[in-house]
Amino acid sequence: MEDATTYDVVRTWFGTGGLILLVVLFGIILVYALRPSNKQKFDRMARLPLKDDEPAENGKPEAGKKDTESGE
Amino acid sequence: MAISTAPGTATPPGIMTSSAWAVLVSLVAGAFLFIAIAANAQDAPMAVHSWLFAFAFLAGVMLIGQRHMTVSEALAHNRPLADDGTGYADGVVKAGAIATLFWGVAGFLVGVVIAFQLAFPALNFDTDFLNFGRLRPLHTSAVIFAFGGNALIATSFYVVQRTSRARLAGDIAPWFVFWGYQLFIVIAATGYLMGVTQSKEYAEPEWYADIWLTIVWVVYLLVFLATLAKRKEPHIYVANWFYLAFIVTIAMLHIGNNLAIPETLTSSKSYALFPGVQDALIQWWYGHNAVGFFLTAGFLGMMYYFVPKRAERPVYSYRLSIVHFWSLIFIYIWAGPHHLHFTALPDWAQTLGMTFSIMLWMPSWGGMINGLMTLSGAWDKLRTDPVIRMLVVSVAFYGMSTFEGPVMSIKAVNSLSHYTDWTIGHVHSGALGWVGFISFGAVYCLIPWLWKRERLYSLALVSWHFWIATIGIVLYITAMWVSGILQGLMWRAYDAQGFLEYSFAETVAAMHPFYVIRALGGLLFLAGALIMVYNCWMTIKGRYRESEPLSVPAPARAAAQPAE
Repeated sequence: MEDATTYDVVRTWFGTGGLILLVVLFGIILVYALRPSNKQKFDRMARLPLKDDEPAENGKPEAGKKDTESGE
Repeated sequence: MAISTAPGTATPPGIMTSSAWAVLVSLVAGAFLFIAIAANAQDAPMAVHSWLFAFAFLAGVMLIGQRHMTVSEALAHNRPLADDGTGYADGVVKAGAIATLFWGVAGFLVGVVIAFQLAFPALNFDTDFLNFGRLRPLHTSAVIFAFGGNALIATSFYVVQRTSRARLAGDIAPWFVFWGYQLFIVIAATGYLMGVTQSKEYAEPEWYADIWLTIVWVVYLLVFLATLAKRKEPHIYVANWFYLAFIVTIAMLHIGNNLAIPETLTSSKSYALFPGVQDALIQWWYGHNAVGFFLTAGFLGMMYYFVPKRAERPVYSYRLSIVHFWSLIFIYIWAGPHHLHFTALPDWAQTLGMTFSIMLWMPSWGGMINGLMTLSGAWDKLRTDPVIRMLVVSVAFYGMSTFEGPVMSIKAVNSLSHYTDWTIGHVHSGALGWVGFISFGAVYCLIPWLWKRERLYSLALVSWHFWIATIGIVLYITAMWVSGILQGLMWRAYDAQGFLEYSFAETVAAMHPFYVIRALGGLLFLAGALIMVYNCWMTIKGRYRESEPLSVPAPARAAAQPAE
């Protein structure tokens, strides 16, 4: 009897707590993804595969310019 | 200089550091351990595998020594090093691309053999080794883990370096991941042929192979994380998120599902930790998330790099990629119970699995839309570039099979489709169409990039591969649809007295024509892969097909002459 009760309590709290935690986390992710202030960052990231080509063997590509933030 | 990073990486690769010595000592100790196990082995497969491990470990010692000698000799004579430790580490990616091709052909070949075995049972030849029951896991493991796994490891090592602008972390570690993974594949494959299995679908290798894979996988995770940690980009590109989800989740699933107690430490047999339906649930928690995180998340990582790169277009919506990534992560993990409809699993758990499977439509299609729409503004490339065509059709197959999957997870549909060939057809539209084509596309991109060729040996051959393989897939999945639905309907047909209308043997006989069509489809897919191997081989050799002139405006990276 005692065991069953403990199980029920733990199960309920973990179940409900897990639900709330995951929904809140997902909400935070949505806010992060949709915030207008992040748009510039995401636009830059969307182009990242296109400008990664500097073959490192060719000497100095990234050494001088650390201004990767300026994007395109 | 360029991307050489943390202080200390100035040592050229191959020079013995203290960690290199530690690896060397561990390999020697491991070899002794396995020689001891071989001496006390309780069964023949364990003895064979112990010798294999011992031999592989000693070969590893030789390789490390050889590498060290080559580098120190070059340094002593002031010769330039092929890799001075400052550029991207692409040697391991090259090896991975070749391994992908090799295991692809091997896995497709075994698939064709077992497809013909189903159509013509005499092809089992009445031997243990070539029995369908042993070759089937050989086929699934070879295509999923050997072909798909090598494609994922190779592309993840390539992509994480480019999108982080950092050299791969570690010197021996990436090579340990590569060779350790090949060793796991060989152990698993030879085990199946000798009858070693723990009878868990897609997780058949026994306990000692599982422990070895865990070690390799943890090193893989560390290499990936350490490379991300020294990235020059402020943010982690979305492809790396997908790769990371794949690596982390597979580690968790692999350990959870393979919890077992070996009979003894010198026996190849183990017993699962969980009994009955709990074991079944753990198995399909693993099994479906192998689909979700190995065959989906990992290959989406591939898509998010190679599709924009090849199309020369930015990702359609980076926001969508974040949202559908996290939705996929939050939802996929719950979908496994749909493999256990109408079993001893509690009804609520079955319904939960079904509900989450249907919700998966949205993140799946989010990924598909994002991949396809990345082509916007470059749709003409579909006509001119067969590699892009391959990548785009793979994303279309992804959309199709992730539409079909949720439909099949609905209990009413599942009562017809479960245990029939429809499931096999569904898996193959995802495996051949999505996983196969996206990997082919990625390797077609990688081979000229890695070996510094202006382009592939022949684009016409890529077109041939594309069409032959596509016709093969269509034959395969249509045959399995018809056969699966026919099978399901025959199984549930009752006569007026309430007796089953057909005996099981009658349903098997009815499948024969479809099994033949399926085998022919598989044969076409294999033929396409062989064309690919030839094309890639010629590209690596530095040849260009003469009837296809090189482009006039040479691309930026054009180092047309073979550099080897």
